[in-house]
Amino acid sequence: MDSLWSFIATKLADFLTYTGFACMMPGNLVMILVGILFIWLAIRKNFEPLLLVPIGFGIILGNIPFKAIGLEIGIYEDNSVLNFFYSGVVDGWYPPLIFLGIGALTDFTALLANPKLLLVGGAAQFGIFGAYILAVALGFEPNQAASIAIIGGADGPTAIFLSSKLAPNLMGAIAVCAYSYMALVPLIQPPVMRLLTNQRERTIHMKPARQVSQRERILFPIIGLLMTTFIVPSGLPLLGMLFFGNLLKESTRTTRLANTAGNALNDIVVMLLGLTVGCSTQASEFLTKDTLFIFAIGALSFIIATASGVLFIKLMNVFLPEGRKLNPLIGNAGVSAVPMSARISNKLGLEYDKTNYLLMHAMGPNVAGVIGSATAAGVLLGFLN
Amino acid sequence: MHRLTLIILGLLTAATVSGQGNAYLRISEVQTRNVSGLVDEYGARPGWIEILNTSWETIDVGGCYLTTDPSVTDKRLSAFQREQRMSLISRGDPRTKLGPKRAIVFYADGQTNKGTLHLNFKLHPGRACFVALYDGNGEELLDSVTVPAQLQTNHSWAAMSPITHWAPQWIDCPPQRVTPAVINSTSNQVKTKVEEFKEQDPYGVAMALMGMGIVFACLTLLYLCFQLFSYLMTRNSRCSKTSPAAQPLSQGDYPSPEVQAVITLALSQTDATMAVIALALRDYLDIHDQESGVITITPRNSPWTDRSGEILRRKLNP
Repeated sequence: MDSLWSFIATKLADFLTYTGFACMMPGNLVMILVGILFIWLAIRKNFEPLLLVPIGFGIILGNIPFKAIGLEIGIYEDNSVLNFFYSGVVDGWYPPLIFLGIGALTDFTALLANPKLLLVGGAAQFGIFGAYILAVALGFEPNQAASIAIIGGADGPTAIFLSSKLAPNLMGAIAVCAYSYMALVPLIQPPVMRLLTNQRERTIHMKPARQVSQRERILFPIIGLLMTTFIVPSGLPLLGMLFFGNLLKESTRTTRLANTAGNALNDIVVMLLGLTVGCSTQASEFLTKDTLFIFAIGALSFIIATASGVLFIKLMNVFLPEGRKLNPLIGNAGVSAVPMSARISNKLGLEYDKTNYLLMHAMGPNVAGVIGSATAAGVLLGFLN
Repeated sequence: MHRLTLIILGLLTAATVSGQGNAYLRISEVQTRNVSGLVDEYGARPGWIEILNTSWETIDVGGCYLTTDPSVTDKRLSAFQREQRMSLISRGDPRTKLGPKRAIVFYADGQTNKGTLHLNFKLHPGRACFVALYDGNGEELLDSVTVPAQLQTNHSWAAMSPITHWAPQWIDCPPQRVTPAVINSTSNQVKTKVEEFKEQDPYGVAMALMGMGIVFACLTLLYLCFQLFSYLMTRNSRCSKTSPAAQPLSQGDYPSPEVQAVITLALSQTDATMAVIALALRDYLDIHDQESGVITITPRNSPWTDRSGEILRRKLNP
């Protein structure tokens, strides 16, 4: 009988060493609080809830402490279910699937109606390359600097795709940073836009866009794919899926496929991506000095991207005739946070002139920013991988 | 429809078959005089030939041919005649499936009965030795090299190349640098891209200039293309005045400021409010064609109508 009690006591003592309480480190607690903060921001403040809820929950999930005794439960343990889900991030096949959905949901009409807005989407990518210079100056290796810099594109899937290829150890911090700042776009961009424009520029009324034919909309994904990927083949996974999704939408013959890509498939991938990215932010990897630098560079990259978009429009206006000038308030939309940055342009436009609706005009550089950031990711991958 | 599907599937299959990557197989190292080097499974030290998969996909080298007979390059030979003069690498051995950037060694000992990795010819040290690798069809020369006669004992004739792209530079490797079945190291000769950028572009300015230039080039090309398209579309719509639908839109055809305001409001609201506003907008903006109001029903024969007709007939004429 004594031996039975002794056996039970030993096993219980052993079991207690497996519990989260026994394995808890201060870092885990901090990260769990960060996860709760993300969920609170998403639900209470409505900041990108579709992304921040999965990421926040993933952060909590990934920071539940346990004893690594080969139970195959952790995200980094081979054969665990979470590790299986994580393969989509590590091998980089979630982001192209999200781009498929983005393509199926995006209407490029505003861009096609006024193609010069493509250049604004290009100018805003200086946020990426400016951040690269900053990251290199702070001592990051070129591949790490490129992964951090892509945050300036304001495109979560692209940031995950590039960092999974160039700097997998920084991917968790980069992904969380990219999505956090995307949620904070309404706070980051308006002060920069106000600072760089004057009252007269803010009240410029833009010419209504022309009508875009169905033929143009069908040809756009095909020509867009050929022109971008022939120059930057390394952007093929992202650009290919983006334009493929858009062709599904615009062809009008594959509505079912476009609906699936844009709704069900996109939702599934966003859930898994958000959850696993959150899980990957384990305290030991996340709570480092590098993470602080990444968040600092990320904020600056958003500011640089916004400023370069606005300033580029001011430069274009120097050459454009009166009546065809662009409102610089749509310059911020050159980052690919669709449609949030376009809404900000519209909101600010209305703030200074109650009849100046910039939303449809701002959608042009906004979708150009998606193409621009995917191309920039391809360029960085081509140079450094 | 089925025929079309079959044709498409056939074309896809053909494309898949022709997409096999044997063209990426290369002869990467040869040792003709092996005295104290690599030992085979039987303890012997024959000369050997290393084949490298230079691609990023798995390729099966099984079914390909190796030879030292220079006469096989004669174009007048048929594939069958050529195959008779070469050593076939057996299929079906998992060892011949080469992963990306993987290499395999074949022993040139003239004893094919020893296994898949043994060839039916020997390498003759002391004279220039031609080595060729042929594809499984016996016609396509994948790679060839001539090993110099003066290659010393335990030295190898090796192709040094960057890992990322095949640009071989053949060198005489001393025994300590001979690497059978391992990709020939170029790390001491070719820097990685990251190292190169770190050294040549310490401030990241070159990357920024090149990156912005390329992104702008892509988007400028797209801009020019669609600007041209826009011009052509506008010109077409001006030319075809017969169709009222093709007339350029006037200011009045665009949503009024009030409607634009409602769209903006809808975008900033919750789902339910957005749905209500969208329905109201649809009701306001939706324009239908003029309908004739006449519905025409064309009777159609079907097995169902035939059957019902038959039942009716039976009831009427029992």
